Amino acid sequence: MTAMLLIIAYFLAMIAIGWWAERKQERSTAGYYLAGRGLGATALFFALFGTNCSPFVLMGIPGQSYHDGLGILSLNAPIVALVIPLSFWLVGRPARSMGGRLGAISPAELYAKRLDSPAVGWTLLIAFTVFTVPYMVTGIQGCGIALTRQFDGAIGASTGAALALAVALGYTLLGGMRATAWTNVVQGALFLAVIVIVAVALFTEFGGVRAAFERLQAERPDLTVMDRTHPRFAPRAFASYELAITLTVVCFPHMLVRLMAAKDEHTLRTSCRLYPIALALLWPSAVLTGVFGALLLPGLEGRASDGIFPAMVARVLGADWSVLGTLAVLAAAMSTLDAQLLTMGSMVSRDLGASTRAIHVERLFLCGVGAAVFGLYLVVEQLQVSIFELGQFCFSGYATLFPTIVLGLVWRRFTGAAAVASILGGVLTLMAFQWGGLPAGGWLPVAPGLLVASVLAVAVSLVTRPPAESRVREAFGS
Amino acid sequence: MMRLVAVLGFVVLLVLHFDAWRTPSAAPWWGWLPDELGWRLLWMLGALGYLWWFTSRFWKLKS
Repeated sequence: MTAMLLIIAYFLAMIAIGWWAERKQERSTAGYYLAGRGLGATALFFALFGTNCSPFVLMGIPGQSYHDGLGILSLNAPIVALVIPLSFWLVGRPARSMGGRLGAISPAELYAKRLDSPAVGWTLLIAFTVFTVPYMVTGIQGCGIALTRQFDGAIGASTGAALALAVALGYTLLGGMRATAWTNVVQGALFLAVIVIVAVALFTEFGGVRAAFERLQAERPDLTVMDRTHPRFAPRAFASYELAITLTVVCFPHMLVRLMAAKDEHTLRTSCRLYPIALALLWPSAVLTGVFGALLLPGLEGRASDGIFPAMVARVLGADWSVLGTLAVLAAAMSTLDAQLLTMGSMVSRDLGASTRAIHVERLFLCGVGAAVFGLYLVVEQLQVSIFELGQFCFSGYATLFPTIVLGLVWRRFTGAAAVASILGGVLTLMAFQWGGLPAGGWLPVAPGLLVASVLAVAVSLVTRPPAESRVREAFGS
Repeated sequence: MMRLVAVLGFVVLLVLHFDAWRTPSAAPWWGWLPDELGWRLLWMLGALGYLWWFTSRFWKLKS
């Protein structure tokens, strides 16, 4: 009963923040979708952190660490802690200033205007949709698992998923970017605090950090090493995955739009510096929860380990506090989901339709995106795909957009034709290797996809007519 | 000169991260911390230092 009340209180608190944001926001599309380009340091940091950290981190990572051990930390955390903050400098800084100069609201609109090519906007919109909608599914998958587990199946997974989606949609509809940024402050603080508390409680259960690792070494030494003969950790697969996990983040349209909403460069730089510290708290805790979960709760097979995080919360904090795990998963999922809903709504609205509309019409687009996500969720559940697998596919897809995302912001000679060629070439190559059975010589499909996208971006730019100088000057401000 | 240092620093971090050349120690650090975990946490500390230095040096704020 207490668990139910706490979850309802959390949902109501999120809706209340959405209502508050709705009262505060200026009545314009820039106000609704970008909080008037005025997110301060706290809101921006948690908006970026919450948006980036989804159930992939809170459930997929512990779930995979349960099987593969500390190698999952090596595969993800270090490179992410370095390259993602650097990409805020490389991409976030110019995207923010260029977006302001060109009056762009959505990422696809930014590139369409910068390259003076509606075709670029359309191509990006399609690519973003293909990879964002499945990624949104991982979010509601996590919510479904957590809620059904919390209530011992009394709430079905699909009901739980629908509930979380509906609440995220509710406060996003109400308050737009301002609502999602401030709910992310609460959500980010909540899931970070819970996962650190769980890690501390876990070590306490073992009688201290040293005792915990000594027992791990004694009982499951295989989980303390990164086995380079394992297909996931072989050097080429490892390097390919690093490309996907790092380059993907600034290619998330929902991250790009957050970066575009920063109030000034100071807030952006502050977020860049704090980011690795937050990741250093989050990722090791997530991995260790999975690794020690294999000691305390052995026997989970395949994607059943996706539920190890809430199971471990119940195990180390006790049944009465197990709701904290559920709340953390809901917070992580919804902090990503709201940003994705808002960004997809803005792209569907702005890039498919008129440039100005009443806010209530914009809200209809968000509802359409929510319905599409839930439809795909039902299909994915039938196919029994794990959160980690689905996330990895989406990250690979986003990474092939990287040459366009970066070159569009830093290379004046980059052309619209090159952007379209790079995106299509990269995505088609990825799919050919992913599903076409082409041999990749030990590399993951993202590696050839990124290579083709990069070569096409440069080569086509050099052989096509440069963009109009007036537009380039307007975009770059000089 | 500082740009070269920044590039070299980044490359060094990458080489240390893609550590297929390294033979992990079988013995845990201080007798209990797994080598894999200790090595990655140390690397992350180095990356944090690099990032703060980089942003101070190359991300100048316009007044």
